[in-house]
Amino acid sequence: MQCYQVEENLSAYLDGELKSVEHQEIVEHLKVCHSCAKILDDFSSLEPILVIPQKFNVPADLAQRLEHALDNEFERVYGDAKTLISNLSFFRRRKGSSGGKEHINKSRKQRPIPRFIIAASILAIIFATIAIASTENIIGFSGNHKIRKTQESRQWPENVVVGDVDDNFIRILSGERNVKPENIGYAAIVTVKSIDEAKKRLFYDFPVPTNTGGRKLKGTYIEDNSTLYIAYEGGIVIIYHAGYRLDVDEALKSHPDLFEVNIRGQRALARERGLKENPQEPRASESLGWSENGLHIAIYSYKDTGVEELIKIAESMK
Amino acid sequence: MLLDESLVEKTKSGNKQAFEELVRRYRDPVYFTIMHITKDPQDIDDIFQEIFLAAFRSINRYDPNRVRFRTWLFSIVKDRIDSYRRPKVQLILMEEFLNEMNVSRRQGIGDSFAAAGTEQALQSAILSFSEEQRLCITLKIIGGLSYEEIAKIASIPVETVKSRISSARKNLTKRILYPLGRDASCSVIK
Repeated sequence: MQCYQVEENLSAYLDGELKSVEHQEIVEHLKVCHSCAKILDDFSSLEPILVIPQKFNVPADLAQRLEHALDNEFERVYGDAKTLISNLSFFRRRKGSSGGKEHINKSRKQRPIPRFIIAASILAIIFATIAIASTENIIGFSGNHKIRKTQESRQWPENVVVGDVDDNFIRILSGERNVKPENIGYAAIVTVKSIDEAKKRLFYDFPVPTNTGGRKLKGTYIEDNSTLYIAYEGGIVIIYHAGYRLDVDEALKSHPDLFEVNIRGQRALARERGLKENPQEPRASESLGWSENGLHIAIYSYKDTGVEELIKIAESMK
Repeated sequence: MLLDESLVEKTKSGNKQAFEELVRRYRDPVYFTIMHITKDPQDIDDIFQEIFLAAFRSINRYDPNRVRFRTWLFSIVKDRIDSYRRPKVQLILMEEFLNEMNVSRRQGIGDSFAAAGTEQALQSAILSFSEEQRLCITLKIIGGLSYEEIAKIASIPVETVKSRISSARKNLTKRILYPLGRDASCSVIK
């Protein structure tokens, strides 16, 4: 091995990342080359500081906030379920949903479920989950070529599921994010076939409007397995974001253009900007947001639908 | 001590303490990574919380037979940091609403570091690297990840990881060991 080749490999040598043949070649080279040995010395003397400093800690207040956020998340997902089966079934029987969980708890009181059935159920659920995940990876999502192209130009980490998105949604999202439509592919967004499908995929339950003033559903999208977007005709988009709570008082203090309204007993914030649809204006015209059951819900109008109309839609949500 | 993957299995069965233990194990390295990669210090707290919430929400999709837990977790870290790197990542109006959550903002990236000169020098050196180099060297610093795992997290070939860590070391040598340009005998820092 020449000096330049050794230099290139010294760092990996120090990290124990070389194959045994290369490793041995470097050992032999270092015995006779003072210059390369000096470089290795320098690299080695850096090692004690190439670690997380001992005094480094997450700030206590942040650690505490995370703890609270996780407590809430745990409570929301698992609720007070005590049985293994209901814990494992939280995908389908979320807290607050009807039927399922109560029925299972009742059954257990009457006649305990044998262990082998529990074990079989666990295995079935695990296999089903893996099967669903694999199917999505294999089949992918058909449709938008523009987004597909963007996806292909990038290697996606294994845990990210990427789907295609509808052009209309891309326009809205790219406008909101001030990015070019082709860069929206950067987000882990999937299109789901229906709101029911979204309910199956998400870890939370969410209310949907029962009266949209005749506006038809345009599309349902999930981002990062957590944020849900439901788009209706007329430029109405509802966004559900789990894990946030809106502090109405603080928001009113710091944003004088917001005003408070009441949505089904919840304090909500509204903003009326009175803008007509304008491709140059990325922001929504009117908006309405509130917190409900651990979700932040916001409705935006991208055309000329007024706040009153958004409130009607919000009030019809069940 | 239980393996991470065993704690994951317990979490999947609804054991809250198991996930809390995983958080305790990884909160410092995760925070350290975010601090060294994220450009905007104001995003650090948000990204930090979102990572663990996202990990919890998707833990049922994690398959221990494919990757180790720490590789999976740091893939989420990388994803989240990437998502904040977009020109304007949050929906503008939603951000305005969510900003009212009274999240105290860090004044500067260095707050959590001890005042010791070397650590500051290290931090300032790392922050001067390219984003790609920062990610690789930070994942190396937090320890326990092989080049192959770093490659998986960063979505780049192993050879690229190798060369990025190597050049990061060369840069660190130059900035920390020979900040005044002494010792010209060291060929890599010429």
